[in-house]
Amino acid sequence: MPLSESRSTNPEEPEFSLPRDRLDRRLADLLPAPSTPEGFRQNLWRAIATQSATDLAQRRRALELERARQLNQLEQDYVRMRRDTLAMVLAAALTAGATLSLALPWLAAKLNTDIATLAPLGLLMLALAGVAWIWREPLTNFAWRLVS
Amino acid sequence: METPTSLPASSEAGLRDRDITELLQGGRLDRAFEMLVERYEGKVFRLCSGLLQDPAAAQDAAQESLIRVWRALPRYDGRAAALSTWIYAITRNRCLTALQQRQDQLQRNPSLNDEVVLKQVQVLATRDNDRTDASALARLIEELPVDMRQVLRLFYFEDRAVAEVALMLGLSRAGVKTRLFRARARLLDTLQAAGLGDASQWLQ
Repeated sequence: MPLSESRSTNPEEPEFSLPRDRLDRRLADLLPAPSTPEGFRQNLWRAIATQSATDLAQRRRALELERARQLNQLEQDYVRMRRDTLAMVLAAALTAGATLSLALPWLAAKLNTDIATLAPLGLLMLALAGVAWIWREPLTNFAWRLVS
Repeated sequence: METPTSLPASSEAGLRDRDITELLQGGRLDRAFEMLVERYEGKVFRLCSGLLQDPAAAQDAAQESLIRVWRALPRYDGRAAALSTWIYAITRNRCLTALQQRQDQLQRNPSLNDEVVLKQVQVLATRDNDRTDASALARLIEELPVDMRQVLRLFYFEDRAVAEVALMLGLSRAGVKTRLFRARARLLDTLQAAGLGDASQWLQ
C-alpha cells in the first residue's frame, strides 16, 4: 500500500500519513503509552516540600555565613583603618618635626629674625595648610558657588 | 493583568498554555505549577520513558525534571520559549544526564548492558498476544538506532501526535516524520531479512 493512501486519524496531524497496516497495529500494541506511576504526584509534592525546607535552611545558612563574613570584613577594615591612621599621624608628626628643625634655622637666618618668633608662625602656617587640605572639597564647592 | 503579548503569536504550544502563563505573569506561581503538573506530568513521564526505556529511571527523571521546573518557574521567560518547549527541554536535559550516568556505569560494568536490553525486550514482549511476532518485533525495535527508536516510541505513546513528539524532542515535524518512515522501512527490511514472514503480510 502506498504510504500516502492511508491517513492518520489524529486531528492534530491531518496532513500526516502513516499506513494503518498490521505493522502499525503491532507497534501500537507493543508501545502503549505508559501510565504515570501510582502515587507519582504525591511523591512529587512530598519531594517539593522537602526541597523547600532544605532550600530555606540552605538559604538561611548562606545568609548567616554572608553576614558573618561581612562582619568579619568590617572588623578587619576597622582595625586596618585605625592602624593606618596611627601610622599616618606618627609619620606626619615626625616629618613635620624634621622639616621644622631643618627649615627654621635657615628661615631665621634668611628673614633675620629669631626662632622663638618664627616657630609659632611656622606652626600656624602648617595648621592652616592641614585645615585647607582637610576641608578642600567643601571649600572648593563654596568658592565655586560664590563664583557662579 | 497583562495579556501575554510576549508569547510568540504563531506558536500553538504557546497558546495552549496561555492560562498558565497568565497565572505566572500575575505572580500566582503555586497555582500555575499545580496546573502545569496536571497538564504535563503524564507527558513528562512518557518523554522520560521514551528516552530512558526504564520505568524506574523514567519515574525518577520525571520527578526530578518537575522539581527543576518548579525551582526555575519564577525565572521562566515566555518571550524566550513556549512553556511546553521549556519543560521538555528541562526534561530532555535531565534524561541526557541519566543516560550519560548509565553509559558511565555500563563502561565500568559491561555485563549490565545485556541485562538492560533483555529486560526491555521482555517488558515489550509480554504485552502482546502473539508472543513470537511480538518478541521478534520488540527485539527489532531495540535494534533500531537510538533516534529512530525514541521517535517511534514517543509517536505511539502520544497517540500518533507528530507535533507533540516534535516538541518533546526539540525536532521539526519533518524531522520526526522522516525518522518514523525510516524506522518503519528498517523494521520491514529486517523482518524480511530475518525470515519473519513476507514484508507484505505486515502491510495488510
